[in-house]
This record gives sequence, structure tokens and C-alpha cells, in this order.
Amino acid sequence: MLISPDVVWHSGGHNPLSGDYKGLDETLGLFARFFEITGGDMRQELHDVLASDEHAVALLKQHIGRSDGRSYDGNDVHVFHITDGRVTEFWAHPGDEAASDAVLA
Amino acid sequence: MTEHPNVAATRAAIEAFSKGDVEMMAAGLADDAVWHIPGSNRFSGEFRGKQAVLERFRQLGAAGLQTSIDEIHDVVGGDDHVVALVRLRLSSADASATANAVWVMHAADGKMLEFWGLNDNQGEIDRVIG
Repeated sequence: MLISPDVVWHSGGHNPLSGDYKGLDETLGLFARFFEITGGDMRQELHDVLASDEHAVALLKQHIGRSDGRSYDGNDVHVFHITDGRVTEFWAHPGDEAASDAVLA
Repeated sequence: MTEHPNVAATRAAIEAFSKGDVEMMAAGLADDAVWHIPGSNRFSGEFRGKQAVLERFRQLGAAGLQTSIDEIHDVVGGDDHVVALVRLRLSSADASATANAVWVMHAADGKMLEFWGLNDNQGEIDRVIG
């Protein structure tokens, strides 16, 4: 398992999915909620990945689509705090927070 | 892990900036640098060219706003990109706000070519800047 059972997952922005999810169960629940509201219309294209001993940072092109036609395409940044080879904390930073919030609202 | 030269240069530039040494930071900017400042405040937007970027810093200072760095949490990078995780503080005469900021920089030939700032507390930052 790459994600620690005690992970804290920070979902950025100000939308119904934003907030801090504590532990693996809450985090997997968030993933399920994302899948549910997008109908699976989510894509990520990795641009670059950078790392130090404690952090990994992914630069990615994020696509989120909704069944009513709303969509978000942004240059997002995902920051992972890594401890003993596992993700213990995660922050998602949308490249355009207002646009991301509008699609996830 | 050995630090990439772009990481060492960026760390030094941020440390210089945090001590108010804008000239040292400016030395690391490409002449055609593009700076993307997030949010919905009077200084948000895209600034093209080294002179426009430096002018924006001058205007922030002239407006009585101070950008300071409480902590350089980590700097990661490679040949093309450097990302700095910093604890940022924006202060005016009567208010201040902090944010976990992610600074993404596109590097080329050892210079910073493009910069994107992302703050996790943009609403508060916008309110302090106005």
C-alpha cells in the first residue's frame, strides 16, 4: 500500500469536495465521490514529477468533466508528503481555483 | 539526495528575497520571464518581462504591502522545473494573512523563465491586498 492508513488528504478549493480527509477510509470515500459526480470523466496527464527525501510534487494537466457540460482543464499541482515510502499527507492545488470550484459546485 | 543546481539556485534566490535582496533574486530571472500571480486582487495577473516583474514588486511595496516568508519548507526540482513549498505572509498596515504557497518555476539555462504562484488561502490573501 503506497498510501499510509493515517494519511491526511487535503482537497483544495472551496467546493463541496474541499476539505481535509483523515485516514484511508475517508480518503477512498473522497475518490468515490469524485468518481460519482464526474461519472468517471477525470483525466490527469503528468507534465513532470519532482522529489526530495520528504516530498514528491506532480505537475499535471487535470481534466474534470460533468454530465451537464461543465468542464475544467487546468495546470494543477499535487504535493505528497512521503514518510518511509508511503504518502502520509497530500495537498491538491488547482491551477485555477475559481474555475475548478465552479465545475465541482 | 544530491541537490540539483536549479534547486540550490532557487533556494538561494528565495532566501535573498526573504531578506529583501530583490536584486539577487532578479539576477536569476530571464529577461523574458513571465510571472503568473494568482487570485482576484489588484496585483493578480500575468507579468511579462523581467522589468514588469520587478515593477510589480516595487508597486506592492509602494502600496504598503509586504511579502515575507515564514518558512521555506522544501524545494524540489530537476532540469526543467523547480517547485518551492513556502509558508507565505502578506501584510498591510492593518492586516495580514498566511498561506501555504506552492511556487512552480520553469527553468531554462539556469534562469527562471516562468513562475506560477498557488496559495491555499487565496481568499484571505486577496482581502489583505485589496
